[in-house]
Amino acid sequence: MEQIDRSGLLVLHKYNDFANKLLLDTAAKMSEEEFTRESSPSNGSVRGLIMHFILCEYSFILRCNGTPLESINEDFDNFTFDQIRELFTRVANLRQGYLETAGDEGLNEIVHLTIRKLPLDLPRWQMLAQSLLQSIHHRGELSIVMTLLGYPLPTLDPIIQFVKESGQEWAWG
Amino acid sequence: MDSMNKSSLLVLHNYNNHANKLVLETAAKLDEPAFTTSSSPSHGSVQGLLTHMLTTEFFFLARCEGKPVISKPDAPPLTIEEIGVTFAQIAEERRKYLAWASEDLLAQEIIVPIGGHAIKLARWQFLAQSLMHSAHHRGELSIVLTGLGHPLPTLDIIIKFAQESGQQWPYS
Repeated sequence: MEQIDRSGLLVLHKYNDFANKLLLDTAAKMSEEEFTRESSPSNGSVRGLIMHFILCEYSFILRCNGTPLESINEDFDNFTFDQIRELFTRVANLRQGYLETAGDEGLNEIVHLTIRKLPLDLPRWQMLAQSLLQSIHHRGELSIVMTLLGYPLPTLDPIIQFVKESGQEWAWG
Repeated sequence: MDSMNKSSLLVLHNYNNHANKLVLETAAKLDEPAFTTSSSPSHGSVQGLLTHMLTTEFFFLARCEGKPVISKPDAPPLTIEEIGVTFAQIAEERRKYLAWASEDLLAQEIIVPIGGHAIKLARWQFLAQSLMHSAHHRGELSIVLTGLGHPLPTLDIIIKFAQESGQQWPYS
């Protein structure tokens, strides 16, 4: 069966970090009213969408490193924008640290989780892939919602990150 | 440097195929005006977004295969049926290519002209770009199609993982 190994997950993780920073830089230009306004059929608002996908990222890395979700007791509903940005950094650092030390055995090990009271057994690499690919989808949603609010996102294509990392020039800046 | 091997690319390819089919099934429910009407700040319409995804997937696969890419700017817009057929052809071509390609070939750098620049990257990077690019635009389509009254089903890869392993997904 095919799988994404540690190196592949690190590619997805680094791209995710790159794209999330561009997203937050644009969202930081919005007023509080624009940020929280009912503007999206998915998760209600820009804030709702951003919190949805970063909390998914957070929950999956916690499950991977064995931290009980019940031990997290933070008032996410009232996080300021600065606190949200700090949460993104914290989650990215957690995942980076986990992936730097994870072995293939650990990534392939099945973890038991419960979603809506139903048990689900998946290897860690699948949980990490889910969280990273889901964020790409939601940034796509945000690109429409934020453009309609007057805050278009820059192009988030991974090829731009690949080109810049290799010291080449990207044609569109 | 971190990289994606054949197995990782096949996971992304299989998921892309699965998610594109779900998007196409929903888009096929639109009538012609809804499919072509100006409804998206990104690529104008559902038709425009799907065509952009499709041509990007085609472009990067062809470049990795070393095949020429001939632009047809005057070609008529594709119908939903033509888009569906072409996505299936590209998916089959990429599946065969990934089954055939060696790890060395995927890691080999090639030069692709983009925006007047000769971009030199490994084949796996161009393939990853095309697959992640489509994931981003499916997110855009989720908002646009909902606005047109045809919301997408949940496209999360975890649903595919759960179903492939014979488990029940709680939301289905």
